[in-house]
Amino acid sequence: MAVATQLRTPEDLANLREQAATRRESKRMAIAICCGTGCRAQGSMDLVEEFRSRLEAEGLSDVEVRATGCHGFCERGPLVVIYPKEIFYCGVQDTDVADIVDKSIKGDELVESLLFRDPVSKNRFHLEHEVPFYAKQQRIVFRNNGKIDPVVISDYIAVDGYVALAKALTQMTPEAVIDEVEKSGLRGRGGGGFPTGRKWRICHGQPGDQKYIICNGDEGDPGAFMDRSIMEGDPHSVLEGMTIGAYAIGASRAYMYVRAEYPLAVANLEIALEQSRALGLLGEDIFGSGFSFDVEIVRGAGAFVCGEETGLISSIQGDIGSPRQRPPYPAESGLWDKPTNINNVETWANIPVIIDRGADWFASVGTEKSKGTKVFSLVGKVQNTGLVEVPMGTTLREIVYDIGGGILKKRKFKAVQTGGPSGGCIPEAMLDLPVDFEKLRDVGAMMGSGGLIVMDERTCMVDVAKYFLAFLVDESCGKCTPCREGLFQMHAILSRITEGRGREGDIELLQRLAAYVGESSLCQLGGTAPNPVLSTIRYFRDEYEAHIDHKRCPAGVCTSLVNFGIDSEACKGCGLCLKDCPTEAISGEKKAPHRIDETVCVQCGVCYEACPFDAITVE
Amino acid sequence: MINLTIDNQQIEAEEGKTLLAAATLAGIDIPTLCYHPAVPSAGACRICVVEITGGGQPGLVPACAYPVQEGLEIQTESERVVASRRMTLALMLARSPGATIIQEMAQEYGAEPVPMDKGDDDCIMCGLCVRVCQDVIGQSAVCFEGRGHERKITTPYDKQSEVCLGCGACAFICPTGAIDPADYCPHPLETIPNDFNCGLDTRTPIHIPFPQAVPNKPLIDRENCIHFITGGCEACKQICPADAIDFDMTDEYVTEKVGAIVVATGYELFNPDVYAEYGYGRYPDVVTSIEFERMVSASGPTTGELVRPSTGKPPKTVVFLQCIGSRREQGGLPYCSKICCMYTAKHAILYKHKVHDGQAFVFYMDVRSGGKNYEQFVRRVIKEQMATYLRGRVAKIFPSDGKLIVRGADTLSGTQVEIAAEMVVLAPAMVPAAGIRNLAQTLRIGYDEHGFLLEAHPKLRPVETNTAGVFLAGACHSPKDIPDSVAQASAAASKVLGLISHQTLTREPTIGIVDEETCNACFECEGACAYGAIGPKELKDRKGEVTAVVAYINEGLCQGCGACAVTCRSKSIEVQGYRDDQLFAAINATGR
Repeated sequence: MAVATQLRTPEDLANLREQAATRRESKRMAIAICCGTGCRAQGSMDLVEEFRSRLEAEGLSDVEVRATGCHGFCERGPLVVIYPKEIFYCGVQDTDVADIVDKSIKGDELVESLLFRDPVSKNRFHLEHEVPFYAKQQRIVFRNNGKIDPVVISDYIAVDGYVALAKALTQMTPEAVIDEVEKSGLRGRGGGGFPTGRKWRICHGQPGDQKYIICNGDEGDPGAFMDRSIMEGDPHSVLEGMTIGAYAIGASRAYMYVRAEYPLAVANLEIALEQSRALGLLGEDIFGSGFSFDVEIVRGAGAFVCGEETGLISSIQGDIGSPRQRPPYPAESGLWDKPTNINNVETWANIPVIIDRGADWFASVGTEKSKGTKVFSLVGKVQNTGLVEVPMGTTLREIVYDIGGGILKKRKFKAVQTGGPSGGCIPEAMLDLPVDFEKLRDVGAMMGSGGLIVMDERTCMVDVAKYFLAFLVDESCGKCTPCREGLFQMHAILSRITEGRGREGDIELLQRLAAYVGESSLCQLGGTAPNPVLSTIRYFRDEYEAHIDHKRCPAGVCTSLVNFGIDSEACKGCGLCLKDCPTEAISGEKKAPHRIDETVCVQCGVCYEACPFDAITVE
Repeated sequence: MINLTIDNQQIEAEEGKTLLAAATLAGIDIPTLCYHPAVPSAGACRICVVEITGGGQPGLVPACAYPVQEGLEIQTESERVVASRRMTLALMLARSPGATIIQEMAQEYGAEPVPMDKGDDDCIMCGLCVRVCQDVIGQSAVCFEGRGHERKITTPYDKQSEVCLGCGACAFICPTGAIDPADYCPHPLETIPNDFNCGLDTRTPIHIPFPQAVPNKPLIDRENCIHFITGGCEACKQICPADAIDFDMTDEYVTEKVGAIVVATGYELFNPDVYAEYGYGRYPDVVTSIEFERMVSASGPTTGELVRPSTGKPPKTVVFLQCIGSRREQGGLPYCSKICCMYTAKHAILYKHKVHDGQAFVFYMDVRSGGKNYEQFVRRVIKEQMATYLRGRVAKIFPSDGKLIVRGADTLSGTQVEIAAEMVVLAPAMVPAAGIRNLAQTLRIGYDEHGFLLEAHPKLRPVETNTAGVFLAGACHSPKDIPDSVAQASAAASKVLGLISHQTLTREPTIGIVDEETCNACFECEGACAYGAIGPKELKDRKGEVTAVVAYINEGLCQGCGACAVTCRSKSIEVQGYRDDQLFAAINATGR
């Protein structure tokens, strides 16, 4: 498949695109199988093999099997989409392959059992774009995920890949590229939301021959995996964005910093790099423009703080991944003290679209100050979890209810946590908040890299704050006092509150410590670390007070403060709790109300989770 | 230059300087912990935070790591700043309750104790040790390990570091004293006794030899310098803002041609080790008078606080013993050291000044207080009961129950006394400086049996020596106190001035003359001359080529003794005015 000839001109690229597109179109059908990490874990690679051997056995050479990147709807994987009709099958197992080939490939029927059935409306959906999870999304960053095989460069070129690079290098000056990006209103997707065009301009304006580009792929937020999916599913879009950026800034070398926990992303990126070099899309004198550029992959060693740009630079340089005081900013003095421009994976993936389709088109999407789309990883207590790309300004309610399908088990929504561990928890009253950088910041949360964790009524907000604090205590680099000692003490206070040893004044002390850590810390890890505590105190102060004053946990999570009982009216005597109880504290006859022996109960909460009738009560 | 405002004060600062540097230059004090001027800033401890109130992104920034920017407005003690520092200190105190500097700063800032989890680690994780080792010493023998609250300072892999030079920079720079290099340093760390303080304290390899040294500049002790031992370190070179460190500089011999020499080599103290009964060197609380002098000095090892070497507490009873070695014909020195009576009286006064409730005793043979107001001074000490004077000698000192029992005779009352002392001060005899005999031989001047240099005449020429142009001043001549030394030095200086203030040197004409025609250059005369006045002289022809070497007599040095004339085998030297023919003529004239 590898194409050995180098692309010297935009015409060469157009020719190759033509060939690739023709080859794609020559196939009658294409079976796109999601081979993101999530679906692979559920056996999608076996599916690929199974489909291939099945098609071969049947002699169906006019059907292509495509192992694509993540489709986003991870909840229902493995996902299979059959083009051109866009028939959408979810939860496909290798035993289903024969059925699919028989009915949908050879025939014109659907495999009803594999169609998506909406848990709320109970409707079945045939086509991908009809599925509620996808219907409200607008995919710019994820434009190719699910459509192309990430390890086949001609696939990327067939869908207009590298057209933007050819345009930038042969028709635009570096300044014009920066102007275009600035006009698009694109802001950094890593969390800070700094205007990308302005960042480039600052770095472009720095003196010196040697400048560096860095792609920050150290996606460390628990539950966030949008960058991983882009790197795995569409690595060329990131490389193309970086190459355009390097041309604009005047850099000849780039580093791609990827978490070592993302082996598939590293593998796919390495393949992409080799292919790009083979085609002359990386290397010397790209498209005959005189511009030379290459990228090196650096694997992170697992420190969350290395996502902070100065920490990341230290890490690339081989030092301890500890942030340093800014200024000087990396744009002035970064990697090896040279001007350095760092952008996040998602930001880079936006660049080719902006150059290709124009700043005006991009700016037409989104809100006044936040343009384009944002990919969120929607997780937690919602029906449909997965990666969601929506235009800026979409409300949280739309994301949680329309796309996410609402709360699991019809429980009550309590809060949605945005922005990763340093984000904030937003209560139900603010569900109609249009999501953009400013709006989230105003309510005490943040965009972060785009984590969205939905919490239901059975989530204890003090426990949530403690959970995130524990993560941040572990991940603080330990360099500055506020972050190292302040977070440690805040976590200690939260621990004693959840264990029923909270004291009067603890809330105020937490607030004081939070304010101190926020304003005195060296980097933004510490600067934003108090957000989970502050936002939960702000919106759920009553829960804190219940823990401290009344020594009870309203959500029934903090085991030291909970006594479980069984509502004899609601209990149907199914015996599930009895079976699960690890201490045999539950007794009762079948179909008769059960009871809990408080002297034996260790408050583990297994019965609380297990009961299908919500008959377990919390005191 | 960059203009900014700190605490409403207009300040000009060089570009690239930090806010801390600019503030310090303007006399504005900002507290620091993780900062040291010699080490790259980290902005880690956050105690130096200041508030940007205008001209930039408002907020708290660390003064030690934030560069000056045009138009910045900074407050260094605003409410927000103080609140942040208080919390930083409260957190540090929770982590390191034992660190003195943190306790003090917490008190200063009124950081109230916050109910928090307590630790017991003196290390506040400021990282100065890591930075000094890496960035200044260039070794990375200490490093961080772990992350967050689990972060700790250690050596790589927790093993004794192979690259550690043993320079001790980490321990030196640690603000809380949490580092003991012995824990991980593979090299034994030698402590260098401070000679000027009689070894009562230690010094670093770079030191100023003594207060008011001339020039008052530090020097590097090569034998103990880590750089000269290992070839590494060079920390001093890196941190010296004046770039004054020069490792290639060596001691040098300077040759100067001079017209006169004043010998002022001073004295040393007789070693009281030889008297085992006094236990000097065995009992730490038995000290010499010079050690006592350093102990009570404000520039001394305890900055003036008088303490017992054994316990570190002020001595409540002190016994002064005079004439240690002096006036002792058997096993000592026969002469009186002259100064001990007076300085012992002074020490008694100083002791009472330092330890008000202390009691001093002085064992003496005779109080010799000849000198202006000297007797009154001693009388005052005795009268005002600053010390109890006991006439007699001490037979034995021995320890008992943490004290020293001084057993001696009080010859005035005819009884034996025993004093339980907490400190004993010996007044050893004065002896000439070591090496004085070699010096005297080089200068061809005389010395007595004890090594004191001889004057030309005890009454009429007490400053001169027998060698012309060599003069004496101070204790090299005989035991002398300061006024006497100054007087003699002034006299010697006057003599020198008298000698060199004339165009020509006027001498007695009675000097030796060499007959260059007959001299066969055997140089027997050179050895005979006691004054070093004879040396070789080259005779040259018109072309400048050497034709012969003959003896030459320096007219300025020759004393006309005639030793050379009688030694000369070829009869080539005669003393002017006492030539043979002149003597014969004189004899003949008287014989008539």
